[in-house]
Amino acid sequence: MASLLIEPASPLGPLASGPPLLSHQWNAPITSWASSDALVCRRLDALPCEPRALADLVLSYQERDYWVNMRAVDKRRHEWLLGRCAAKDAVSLLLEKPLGARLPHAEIEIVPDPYGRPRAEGAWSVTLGTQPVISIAHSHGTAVALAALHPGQLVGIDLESLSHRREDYEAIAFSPDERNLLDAIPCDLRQEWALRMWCAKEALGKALGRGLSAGLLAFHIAGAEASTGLLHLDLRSGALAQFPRLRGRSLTVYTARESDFVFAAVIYQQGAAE
Amino acid sequence: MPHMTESEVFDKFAQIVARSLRIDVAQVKPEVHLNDLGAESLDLIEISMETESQFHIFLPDKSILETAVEAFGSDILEKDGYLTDEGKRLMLCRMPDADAETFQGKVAVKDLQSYFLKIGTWVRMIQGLARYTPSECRACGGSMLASMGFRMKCVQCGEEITLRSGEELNREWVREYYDKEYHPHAGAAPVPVTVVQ
Repeated sequence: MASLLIEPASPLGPLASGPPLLSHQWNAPITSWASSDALVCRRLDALPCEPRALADLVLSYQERDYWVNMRAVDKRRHEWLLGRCAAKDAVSLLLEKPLGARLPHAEIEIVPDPYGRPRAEGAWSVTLGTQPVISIAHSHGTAVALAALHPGQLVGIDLESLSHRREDYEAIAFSPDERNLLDAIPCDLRQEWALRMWCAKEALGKALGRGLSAGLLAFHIAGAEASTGLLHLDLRSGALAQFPRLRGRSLTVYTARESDFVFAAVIYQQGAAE
Repeated sequence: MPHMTESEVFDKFAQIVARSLRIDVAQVKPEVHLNDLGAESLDLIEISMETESQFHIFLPDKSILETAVEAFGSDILEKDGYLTDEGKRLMLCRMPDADAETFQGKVAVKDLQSYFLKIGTWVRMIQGLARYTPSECRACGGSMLASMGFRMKCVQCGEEITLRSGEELNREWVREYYDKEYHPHAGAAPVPVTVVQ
């Protein structure tokens, strides 16, 4: 396991100028990836200030307009805002070294691509000639964001709370052989591993950019390593139609539990496995 | 099951949503999206399961567009994340009562995903699927009640039937659309319709 990959800038260091970071570094999802020198993962567990003030601080004009007009319950509005904060922090840290300064949050705009995958945009992308890739997840008031500097890397992250969950979703979410995998897990760990498997499907769907639109069973869990938390997935039916070059490939997703949350993360190098 | 009006389906579905998300039922409106009510991915699964149980229907596990794209092949209905004109034709044919503006101009796949998360879209889908759930036994005319899994059983003669899945119905609709609408319109079809297994 690698140690901390990208430290937040020291308050006294030369790169410390610029807007404050709102989220905290969260390395748990990325420490298992060997080539993770250009990855950042950030986490935010609560609103750091009143939501409207936070929106004024971090959102671009268009983002703020979208958020103000969002017809959604407070939980959704707050988590959307937290996710933006975490993602902008992650992108800001990734770009700090190549740009030589930390970008203001509002200059990093998070916009969905035509399939709904978030991407970071801004005038800086022309200067740098690159556009980091990002993935955002939120659950029960916590938001996390994973970002990679190189566009060829596809990243996906998912997070679920262990509280208030029933087991009967397994009948829809998992195929019979995936449920057989769960049956081999001790009873007291079953709920956690079912959530790990669910998060792994979600994270891989996000990394590939189409979510679970091909169907829940199109992301198939072929194996699980209890000691490392690694799950091995392959694509089936609708997902193979979307990504035919991944036929026969095993895709690895890292999962773990941290207090009441289970998370999954995947970093996939485009072309490497094809 | 007995024919239910759109309003009756909405009332029942709104209760399911409100209970699952622990919100006031008054917040559930036809134009609202499930994710804007705070639904997370597993909430959507719970809502799906409760809907299947209460309406005695078998929901598809993916959208009609995904099923059609698998059948037609790539780039015919959707290209680079946007519906093609053929894709818009198919969606308009499938959802004649949908808001016409949903399929006007450039339509991104994400816009459709959002459309499929609207309460009103769910209500129409439930109503459509419920038409395939019999209220009377074909053999004796007795009442049908939900049995184990996706099965219905006649209380009078014991005849059992398996409900048709939304996925199966979607595939049938896509095949019929291809034969009757797309093929005559497009002439020599570039890709034969096959559903990836």
